[in-house]
Amino acid sequence: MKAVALLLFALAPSIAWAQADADDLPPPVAEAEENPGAPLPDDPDVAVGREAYNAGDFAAAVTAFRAVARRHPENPAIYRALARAASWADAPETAIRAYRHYLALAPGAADGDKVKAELTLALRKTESPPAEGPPPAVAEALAAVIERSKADAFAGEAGALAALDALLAIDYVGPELAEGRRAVDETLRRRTDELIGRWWAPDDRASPEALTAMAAGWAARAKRGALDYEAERMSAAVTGLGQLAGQKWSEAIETLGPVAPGDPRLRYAQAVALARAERHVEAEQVLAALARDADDPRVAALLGLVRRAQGRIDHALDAWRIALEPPAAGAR
Amino acid sequence: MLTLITTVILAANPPLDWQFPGVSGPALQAAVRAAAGPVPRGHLFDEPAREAHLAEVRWPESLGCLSDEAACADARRAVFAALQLAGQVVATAEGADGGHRVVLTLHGLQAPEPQIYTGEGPTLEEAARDAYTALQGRVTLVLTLDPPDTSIRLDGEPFGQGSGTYTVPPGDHDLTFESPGRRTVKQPIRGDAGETLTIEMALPAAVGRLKLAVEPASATVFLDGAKWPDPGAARELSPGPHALRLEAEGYETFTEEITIKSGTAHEMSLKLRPDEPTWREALARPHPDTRARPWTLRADLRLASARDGEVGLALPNGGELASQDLSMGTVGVGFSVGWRSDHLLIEGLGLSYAAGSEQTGATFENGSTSGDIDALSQLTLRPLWVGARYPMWRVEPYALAGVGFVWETFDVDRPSGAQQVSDTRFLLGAELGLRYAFDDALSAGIGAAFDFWPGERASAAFLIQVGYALDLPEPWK
Repeated sequence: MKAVALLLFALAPSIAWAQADADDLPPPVAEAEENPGAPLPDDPDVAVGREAYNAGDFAAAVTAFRAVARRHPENPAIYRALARAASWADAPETAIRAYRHYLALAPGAADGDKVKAELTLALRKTESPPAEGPPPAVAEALAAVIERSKADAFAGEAGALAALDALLAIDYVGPELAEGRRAVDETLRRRTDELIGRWWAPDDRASPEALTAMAAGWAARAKRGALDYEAERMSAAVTGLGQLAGQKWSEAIETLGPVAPGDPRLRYAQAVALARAERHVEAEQVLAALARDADDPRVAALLGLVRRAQGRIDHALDAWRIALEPPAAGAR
Repeated sequence: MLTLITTVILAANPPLDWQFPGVSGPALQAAVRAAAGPVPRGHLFDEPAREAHLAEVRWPESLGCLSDEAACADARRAVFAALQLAGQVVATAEGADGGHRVVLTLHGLQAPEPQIYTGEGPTLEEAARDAYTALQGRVTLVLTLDPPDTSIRLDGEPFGQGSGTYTVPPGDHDLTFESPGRRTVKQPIRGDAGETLTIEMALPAAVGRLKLAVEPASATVFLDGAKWPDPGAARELSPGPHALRLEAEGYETFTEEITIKSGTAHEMSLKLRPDEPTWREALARPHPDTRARPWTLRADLRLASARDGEVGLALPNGGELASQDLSMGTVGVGFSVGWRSDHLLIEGLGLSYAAGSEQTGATFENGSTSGDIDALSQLTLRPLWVGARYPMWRVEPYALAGVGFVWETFDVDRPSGAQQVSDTRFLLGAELGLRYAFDDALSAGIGAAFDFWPGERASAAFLIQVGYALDLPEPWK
């Protein structure tokens, strides 16, 4: 009698689904891949999870799908797969959270009603379903990541990256993991761009301390995962400007060299470093190229100085004459 | 000590670069050049002058805002600084009311905003001269101020705020620099037209002044722990709290924390309070010994005078001792037991005996004076006397009053032979005195006792006392 009851309980999700959708049970994982709106991530553990699921080893499927969800926390399909595997593995809390993540990430999904029915069934299976939203520890850790990022504190134990480590260390999968990573990366990029702008603006300064702190932030970020091309460029830029502020001319030249092309501000910083290192010929080459496009008298003024340093006074005067030209009428 | 850093640097200033853009540029350049005179100093009117200046430009110690090593208003100021220029004048001309208007726009190196000078005239030359005079006919002030937002007054009128480049009319002026929390500093200047004065001014912290009038004049004054030899002369102090102390022999020390306000002259009159004499202070408080133990045993030696008066006693051998006609001195001793609180005094079981053997005249029956009194003895019992005491330090004045009984005996010598007659009297008495407590047990004192009642035969006694104070044994408490 007891065995019969257990069997009925284990089959409950499929019975409910049968009532809702009249499909055979259990649902194949491959169905999710066929949904054009929510493909599963391209991750080797997807296949591991699928095989385990189809073999009836639902606990192994949950393990594999959770691993995928940690790497792709904003992919809705992986949560549907995880939720179904967790339902069969008799882990209703995990299933409930995963269903909710799916519905939140894919609000207009074609199978939304079916998934809601599954969620309702999962909720019936537990007397204490998890509360809506992330667990308090996750919410608190995510708030710390965002707050520290806003305060420009990235590196060190009190930095946003340490807070992100703490967030990722929690035994939890959900889109909040991606939100934490995104908060750090986006703030780093925005602040770095602002700092480069302050370095370039004549009426503002990027303090050496701020440059050093931002470079440390990028270094700490790089230790936690590979940077994309743009992030690599920003990291090198801010590091090079910090070296320039610290009068480490050669290091600044080396750091800025690969990332300066395409950004007149960094090109100019590279020229300053070359000039300060008394590599006047190279500095002149960079500045002359810049002067063809740049409409900033500082470029011409510095070009004149490096030519003057080479003893080419006439060429220096040519540059300075341009530097001193008054702006067009109507401009100050 | 306060430090005032002011430097005024005259001349030897960087030149102004001139630019004459537009089609009228060359004509305007010539007109301005003519207005400036044959040898204009500090102006780069043309290309040769500019090139001569730029040829001397060397690699600067700092690239300043050419390389984010400093901040400046805009990129043009960065160029001026790098090329060691005081700024740039852009000259333009236009037609106006049948004549010409020349506009000279000065972009000063440190001025955040350009300054514009205009001149008008029927000819370009006159308009240029007018504008050039407006530009040149002023003194340029290059102010570097600390704090940077220091307010500036020129000849008492509000003039500007903060570091920067300003122009003022030629001549003598008074600059006043003001900033909250700093001393106001006045700086007289004299400038000729076209001259540039560079002023670096760091306003010292504001102070307050303190001056004291002290009494007695011999008082020593300490300010913040250090002796202040001449408090009558005003002294400058930093704003905030300061510790003041006055000391003088025979006076109470005065200590107070005073707060000096910025820019305020504080004057204080301080009169020290004389010290209380030691004895007065001591007398103001009773010594604990005077209150240590409540029960007392007293003994006294008393020198009394038994005054004359009516006696009225029948003599054993007939006749009557009618009166004692003269006073008789007696000597005796007394003893009593007492109890005391802080101010209440009760003495009981007082017993004294006094006797005298002086031959004293007496009157007998029928007015006879044949005979006299040879001796008198008095045994007095004072059962319970009540009074008060007021201990001051170890000294204790006291007063007691009560009733008593006297058994007295007269030795009468008459021609018929010696006789002795006794009497018992009731008395109303009082005692006043002063005692001194040597410790919590022993005391000594003097006093005067007066007995009255009945009739005329009062007595007065001088008492020399000793006393012993004690606590009752535990079972009796």
